[in-house]
Amino acid sequence: MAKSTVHAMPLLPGFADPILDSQYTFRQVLNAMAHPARLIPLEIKMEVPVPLYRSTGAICLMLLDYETPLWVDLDGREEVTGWLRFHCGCPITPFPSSARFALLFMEKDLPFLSQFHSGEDESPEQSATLIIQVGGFTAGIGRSFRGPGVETVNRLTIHGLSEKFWKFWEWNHRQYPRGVDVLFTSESTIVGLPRTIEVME
Amino acid sequence: MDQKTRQEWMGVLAKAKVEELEEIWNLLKVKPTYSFVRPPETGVMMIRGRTGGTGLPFHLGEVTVTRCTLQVKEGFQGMAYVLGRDHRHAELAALFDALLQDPSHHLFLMEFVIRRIRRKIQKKKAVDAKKTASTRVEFFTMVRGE
Repeated sequence: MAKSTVHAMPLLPGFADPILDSQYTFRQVLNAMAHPARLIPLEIKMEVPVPLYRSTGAICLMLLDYETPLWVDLDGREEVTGWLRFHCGCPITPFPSSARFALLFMEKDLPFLSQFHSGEDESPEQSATLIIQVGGFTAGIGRSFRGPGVETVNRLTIHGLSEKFWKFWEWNHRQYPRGVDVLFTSESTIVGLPRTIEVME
Repeated sequence: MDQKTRQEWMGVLAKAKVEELEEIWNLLKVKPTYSFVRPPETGVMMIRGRTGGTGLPFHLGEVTVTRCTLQVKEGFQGMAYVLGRDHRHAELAALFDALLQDPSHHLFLMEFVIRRIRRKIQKKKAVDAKKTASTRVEFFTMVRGE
């Protein structure tokens, strides 16, 4: 018997409780988008392929399906793309412009973010959503975030995020109503950054 | 073992009766331990056909399908897609698919499970074909107008 019959990398299971876990994840993502730049816990007990965080894995399982092409900034990391393809059935696209969701790991330099689709004036909801894994968050210090969902101003530092991102964000915010939305994730915390939010030094 | 062989036994397991699989499971002295990668879940699939096997594909209709993926302790992953909504059937079919990939179980299962069930399926198919054939009506073209 050939070795190839065993899956090269055994697939990991998905949500332990598909209904409750995806409902909880949805609720927390909704909270994160409704309260930009606020730390939202997302604690899921689940084994995920390296280098995904559990929170990132949960968001992917909850949001992705066969209608949402995904772009991933990992070259040839079959354990991640294979797992997502198996559980979500999402196509993996090599073109950032055709992706509805993008997974960014910050292992290399950030890709050119304006490549992602930012929607049309008639259909701004068609834009991409970026899921960016970062090193962590510190609330109360750092850049200030203003806009719908923030009462006065929220201050937040996002660790491991390159300066390039904020230059891109300035441009992205000005595109309104077009523009991409971002979800930052750490192991068990997420932060939402919709296109309506203005970020200042 | 190539892909075709595995496809074939997966087909046999999917067409087997759940009672037959349960019986073999009960016969196993050492029950393998396994965990689900994707627990049994039921959904609907669109089946497509081609007229005469060569025409353009068309939608024949929807069928209920239950699928399951699991992994035995030795690391082999089994998968099953079976018609209907019997979760236990999908589970057992996936389990036997995993065990059939394991050299230490392969021969036994091939001999006593797959061959036996395949013979039964073929027999039933032959009987059905015979019954159907007896209802066949021949239509002849009438030559008219002469």
